[in-house]
Amino acid sequence: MTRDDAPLAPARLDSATLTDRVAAVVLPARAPRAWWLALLLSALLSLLFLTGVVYVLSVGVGAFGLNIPVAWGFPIINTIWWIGIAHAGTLISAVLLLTRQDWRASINRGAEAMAMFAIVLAGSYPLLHLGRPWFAYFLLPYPNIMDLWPQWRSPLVWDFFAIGSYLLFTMSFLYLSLLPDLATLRDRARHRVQQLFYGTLALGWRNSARHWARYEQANRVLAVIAAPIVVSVTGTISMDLSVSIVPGFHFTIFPPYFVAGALYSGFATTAIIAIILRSLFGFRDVITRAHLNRLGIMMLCFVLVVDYAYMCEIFTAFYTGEDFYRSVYFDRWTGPYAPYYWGMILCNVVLAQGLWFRRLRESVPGLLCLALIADIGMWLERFQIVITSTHKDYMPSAWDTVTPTRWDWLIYAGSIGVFFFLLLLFMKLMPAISMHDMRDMLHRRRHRQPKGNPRRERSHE
Amino acid sequence: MSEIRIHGLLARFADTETLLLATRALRGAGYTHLDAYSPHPVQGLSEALAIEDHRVPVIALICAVLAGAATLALQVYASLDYPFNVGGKPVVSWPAYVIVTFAMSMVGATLGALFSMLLLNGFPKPYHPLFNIAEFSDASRDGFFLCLQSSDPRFDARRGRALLEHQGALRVWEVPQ
Repeated sequence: MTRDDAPLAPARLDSATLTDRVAAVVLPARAPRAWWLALLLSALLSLLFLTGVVYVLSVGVGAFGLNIPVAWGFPIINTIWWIGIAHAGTLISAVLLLTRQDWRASINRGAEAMAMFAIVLAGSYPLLHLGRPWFAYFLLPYPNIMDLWPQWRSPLVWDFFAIGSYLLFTMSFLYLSLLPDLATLRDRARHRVQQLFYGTLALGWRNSARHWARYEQANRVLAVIAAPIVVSVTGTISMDLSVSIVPGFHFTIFPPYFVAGALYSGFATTAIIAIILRSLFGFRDVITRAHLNRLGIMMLCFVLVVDYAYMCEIFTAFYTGEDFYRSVYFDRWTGPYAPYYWGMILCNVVLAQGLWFRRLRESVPGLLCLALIADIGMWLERFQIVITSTHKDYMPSAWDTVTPTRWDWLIYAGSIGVFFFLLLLFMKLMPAISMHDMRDMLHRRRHRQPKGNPRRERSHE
Repeated sequence: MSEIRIHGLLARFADTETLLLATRALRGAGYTHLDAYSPHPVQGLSEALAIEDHRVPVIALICAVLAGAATLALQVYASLDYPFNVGGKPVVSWPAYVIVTFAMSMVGATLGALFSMLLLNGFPKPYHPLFNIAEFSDASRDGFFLCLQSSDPRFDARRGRALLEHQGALRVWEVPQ
């Protein structure tokens, strides 16, 4: 943060007013009308999701647009897409904590909640795709009368453990981050039900120096392991594809390429959530244009890596000299799914260059458009990876195309509704801005200025 | 000692500086059963209170290693229990086991850090004498508090109160048990 001196919070904001303002969003029964409207819309979409899920469970996975060369359609595309969105939440909370970026304080809670709900959705697709999700526990290693074990060499088993461990990690991290804020709400709550609710969840947190000391230790442990987790989860998921020998899947660049794409779409979604928080609850002065600018910069960094990976993949395909690798690319450029490929190029390579412009990054409609473009572009990318690679592989007799059905689209659109439904509820029931992180940030800001002692804030380092 | 059993004396301070000075002064006067409360972590407070507890990361590390070792052992056992030849690969093909082992050791570290923090802090603890003081709720807003506990061998309500007030306490309460 050298050149950029835009304030991250107004100068008159102090611990007390910040705490009161955030608590005033959560504790009163009233909510802004726009929040109710958004909740209603996303609830309707969630109903579509439930309808789709019930239908697929009752008639089977044949309801999805799947066939034998393309056995992985929308369910896997959406899994990869949602898990990618989750990653930025973890990265903001953890890596920016370790590198002591003050701008994370007001957006990390939204990002963590985003991660939580995105993982739940990411995990639900493979379960649906199993066809008989009630046998999902077969993936667990447990002693059974068939005397069988999971195939430990299979990326699908790795995938199960990667997503499962990521879910546990994110839940723990979100709860850890919420704990002092739950105590804050317990202290502010006047209604008996609220006192019991937040008091129970706060477990008796008293803001003692001993609590804080252990809290910071635990927080640092989780932050330190978050970075390898972020890299490994999407990396592992990319191995579902790249460990196979399917042309178009079998690239060594897949793990880092997937991680960069994940972070690109994740920061984009964080930007959308930051904009929602700003506009719905009036946090324009704590989630400032400087925050939007930085989210835009992060998106730019990762989209450039993604663009590099596109070039590298094409280079590899042609450099191998293998006909099938090359034909995958000709098929992507001119085949039945070419519109998806060129749509992806338009979003992730052409339009994404708008992120270079600070005026666009700092303008709310500008960044919102760029973020939506990023999410759409990343979804198209996952689509073309999963579908175009399998529909035409080594055996010409097995070539076939697949068309997404209305249930594919219904469940996909519905899952976005579920995501926003859960997120909106979270924003009303839980502090959407981390109060303790903000108090810490405000305190350090106040004490840094007169002393000119820039970097020696935390005690346990 | 006073006749009514009290938990201790709670003093409120205006800011982190006075809280730190008071904590150091009371430590200097030989009191050991002290605790400080602040809306955010305060640098130097742990040192002033001589909190030397580094068990959380150690427990997390132990949990990570145990979880990883157990997972690796499970995979090796499963491969030997039901040998399954895939393309002539060795039965115990350990490089393929690394990912699940890593994932589970991260789970071990996560749960180890979270639960050791919660348990070492004595949670869940629905009741605590300090909650009797209404103004203590400001500890999660903008209040800085120091509590001199009656369990301290040198505790004396009158002297303690005088000392806290001398250190610039805004107000001192007797916390009922």
